[in-house]
Amino acid sequence: MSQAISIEKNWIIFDTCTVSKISIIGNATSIIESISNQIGPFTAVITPLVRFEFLRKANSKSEFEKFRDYLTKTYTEIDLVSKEDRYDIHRLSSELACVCRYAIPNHYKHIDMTDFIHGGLLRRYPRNLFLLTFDINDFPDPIFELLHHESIKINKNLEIWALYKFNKGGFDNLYNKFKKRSRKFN
Amino acid sequence: MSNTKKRKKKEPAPWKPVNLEEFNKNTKVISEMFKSDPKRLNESQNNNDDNTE
Repeated sequence: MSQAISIEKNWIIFDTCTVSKISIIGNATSIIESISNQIGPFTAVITPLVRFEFLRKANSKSEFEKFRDYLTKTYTEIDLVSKEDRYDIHRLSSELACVCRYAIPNHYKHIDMTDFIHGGLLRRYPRNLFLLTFDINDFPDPIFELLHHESIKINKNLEIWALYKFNKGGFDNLYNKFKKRSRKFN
Repeated sequence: MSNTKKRKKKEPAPWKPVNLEEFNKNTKVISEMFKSDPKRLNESQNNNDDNTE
């Protein structure tokens, strides 16, 4: 079965808020060096969802083209629509959504479709796919393992970015509890 | 340099370690656009979740 990414090397999904905030800062040195110190060299990745969400910020056709060129030059895009991956990612994301909804109800309302899809991807490639985000409430413990976080000043505000990976043991534990409680689950 | 040039569907995405200099050079261009528009800057600061904008 073909893979969206090769499984030997490290990849990090930059979600939409991360791409946006780095775009504002204009310099990703502190973030990238911190991450490299944690996990070594990596490829900065976006998904088609991130591309869509970032490009809709454009106010004109000219801006759209500049944003599009920026994403193309700066990030590698994972192909989510390959036939081999589509069903698998959908299943992984849906199960993740069910566990978040019923096992961690306070977190569910923070988590949107893009986050579930990204979570499904992390679940698909737990060894070497990570996620970089400024939405630190959207990836609950114990499903996601927080590997590193730092604060960074963006204009006058202090914000926190975090690096996550999927925690299979934590997820499986919740998933098994969820299945036992469910009357019917497919 | 494009990272997303057309490739066959069954090929995995090419692994290319982040080149910090190139990354910052590209990002600086976009940053100038954001900084020149204070309204957009404030909107981005206030909304962590891009899906609720």
